Amino acid sequence: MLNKISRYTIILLIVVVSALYLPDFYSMLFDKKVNVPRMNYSAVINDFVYTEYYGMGKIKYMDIQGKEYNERDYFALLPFMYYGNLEKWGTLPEKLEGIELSSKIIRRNSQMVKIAPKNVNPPSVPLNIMFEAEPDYAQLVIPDDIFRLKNTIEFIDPVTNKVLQEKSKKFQDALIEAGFEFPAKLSAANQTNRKPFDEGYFIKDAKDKVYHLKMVKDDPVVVYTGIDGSIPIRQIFISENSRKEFYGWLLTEENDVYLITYDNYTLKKIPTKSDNEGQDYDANSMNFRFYIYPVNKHIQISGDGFSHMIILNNDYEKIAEHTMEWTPYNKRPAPIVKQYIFPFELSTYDPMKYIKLQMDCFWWQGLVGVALSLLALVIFSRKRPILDYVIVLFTGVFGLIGVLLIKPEE
Amino acid sequence: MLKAILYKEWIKLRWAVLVIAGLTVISLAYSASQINYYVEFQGAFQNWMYVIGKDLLLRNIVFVKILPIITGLAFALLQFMPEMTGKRMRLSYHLPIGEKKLLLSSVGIGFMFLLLEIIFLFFGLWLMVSLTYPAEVINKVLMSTLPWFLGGSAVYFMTAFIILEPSWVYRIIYGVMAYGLITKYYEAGTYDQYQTLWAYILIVASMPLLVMFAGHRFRRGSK
Repeated sequence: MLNKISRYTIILLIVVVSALYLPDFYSMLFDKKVNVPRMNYSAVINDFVYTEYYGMGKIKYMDIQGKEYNERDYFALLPFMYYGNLEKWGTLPEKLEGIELSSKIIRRNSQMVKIAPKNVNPPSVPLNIMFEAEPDYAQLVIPDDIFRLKNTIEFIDPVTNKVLQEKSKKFQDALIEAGFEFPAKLSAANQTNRKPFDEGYFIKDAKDKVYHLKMVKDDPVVVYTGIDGSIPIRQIFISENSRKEFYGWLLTEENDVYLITYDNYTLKKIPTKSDNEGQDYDANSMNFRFYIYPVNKHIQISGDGFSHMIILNNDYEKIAEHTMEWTPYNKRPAPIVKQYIFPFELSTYDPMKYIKLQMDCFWWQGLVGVALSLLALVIFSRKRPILDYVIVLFTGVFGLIGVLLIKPEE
Repeated sequence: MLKAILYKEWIKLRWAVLVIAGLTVISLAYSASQINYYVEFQGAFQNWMYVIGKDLLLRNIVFVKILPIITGLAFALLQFMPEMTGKRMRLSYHLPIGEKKLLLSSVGIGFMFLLLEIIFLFFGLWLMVSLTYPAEVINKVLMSTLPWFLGGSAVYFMTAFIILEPSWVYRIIYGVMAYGLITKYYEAGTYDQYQTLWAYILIVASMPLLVMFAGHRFRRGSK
C-alpha cells in the first residue's frame, strides 16, 4: 500500500515538474513575435498615427487613414514627442493651436502618468523617508532618519537603530490633532530627491480618510484632503511636477483613476473605460499611461492584443478615441496548439512582481491531449493499475510521462 | 532500536554537524563584519537606503541560501553513500525492524540534524541582522530565508532518494525532477516575494514518501 502511495507521489511530482517546464519549453521554441503597432495622436493633423516595426530597422510610418509617411514627415506630425529632433532640423512649427512651441515650453508643459501592474502593490520594506519641504538649499536634502508608519509614526536613527522620541511624538500628535486615526492603511510618496520640490506623504487612515503630511522647517504639516472612504482606494501615486496641476493620482479597487488636483485636493476622474468588451482598464494586467501635452492629453491603455487611446482637450473633454488590435497571445497559432497538447500549465510568474504558483487550465482543448495520452497508454502499455489511467485522465501528457517512467512495483 | 539507529546516524554525521555549525558561525561573523564595513563607509543612513530599496542585505547573506544546500547534500551523502557502497544496506535490512521504519527513522534523524542546523542559522541570522537594522527589515529578511530553508530540506530528501535508488536510469530521472523542483525555491530577487509557501511546503513534506519507494526497490533488487 505504502509503495503505491510512494509511487504516485513520485508521479505527481513529475507531473508538477513537467507542468512547470514543458509548456514553457514549448513556448520558447515555437512562439513567434507579433508586430505590435505603436499608436500616437498627432495634434498637427488631428488624427491617430502609428508605426510598425519589421525588424532590421525597417519601420513603417502610417496614419489610420492608410497614408504612409517618411521618417521626417512622421516626426513632424508629433512635435511634442520629437521636438528635440525637429528643433535641430529647424522644422519645429512656431505655433500650434495658438500655443507657441519651443523645447522649453513643451518640456515645461508636459507630464506623464504611468501605472503598470508591477507598480500597483510590489513587495517592499515598509520604511520611508521624509524630506524637508522647504529646504534652505537649492535642491531637496536627503534626511538622516527613516520612519515607520503603521500603528504609530516613529522616526528611527540609523546610526543607533533607536526611535527618535521627540520627533516621533511631534508628528504623532500633529496627525492625531488633525483627526487622523491610526493604524495607517496606506501611505504614498515619491521617495526621491530628483524632483523640483517635495509634497510629502498621502496617507489613508483606519477610517479610509486620506491625509496629506509633509515636513516644513522640521515641523509636521497635516491636512485632511477631504478624500474619504466613498471611493475604495487601492494605491496612491505621488509625483511632484512644476506644472502644479495635481499632486498625484490614485487607483481604486474598481480600476478607476483619479488625479488629486492642487485645487483643494478635488479629484478629477480620468476615463479608463472602453466601448469594446474586455478592454476596460484592469490594473492587474494592463498598462495605463496618461500623457499631458501643451495642447491636449492622451490616455493610453494597453493590454494583451490591443491598445486603446482616448484624447482629451485641456478641459478634460473627450475629443477623439481609437483602438488598435492585434492577435492576443492565446489566439496565436503556437499557444492554440499548446492548449491542445497540454491540459494545463503551472507557472510562478506574476506581473504584480510576486512569486505565486498558479495553474492555468485549458479545459476542452486540453481534453484532446488527454484523450491522445490515454490512447497512447492503452495501446503501448497495457495491464496497469486503474489509478494510472485516472492520473492520465486528469493530467494528460504530464501524467503519461510520469506513469511511463515510474513503473508499478509489486 | 530507535536509539541504536540514532547513535549510528550520529556517528556518520557528527563531524559534518560540527563542521556545518562552525561554517555557520564563521559565515555569520563574516557577514556581520561586512555589514559593519558598509555602515562605516557608506554611512548608516545610506546603507539602510541600499538595504531597503536595493536589496543589499540579500547579497550580504548569500550564505544563508547556500549553507542549507551544502548541509542537505552533505548529510544525505554521508548517511546513505556508505550504505550503498557494496550494497551494505542489505545488512541493515536484517535488523529486527521493518524496512520502512528503518528508512523513515534514518531520514527522520538526518532531517532532524538538518533542521537543527537551520534553526541555529535562522536565530544566528536574526541576532546578526537585529544588531544593525529595524524590525521591518528583520521581518522581511527572515521571511525571505524561508524558501531557502525549504529548498535545503528538499536537497536533503532528494539526494537521499537518488542515492538509495538502485537503478541508474531512475536516478537520472529523479535528478532532473529534483533540479526542476529545487530551483523553484530560489526564484526570489527581492525580499519576501513568495506570496504563499503552502504548495512549496507540501512538496517537501511529500518527499519522505519518495525515499520509501527507493528503499522498497532496493530491497527487491529492481533494475
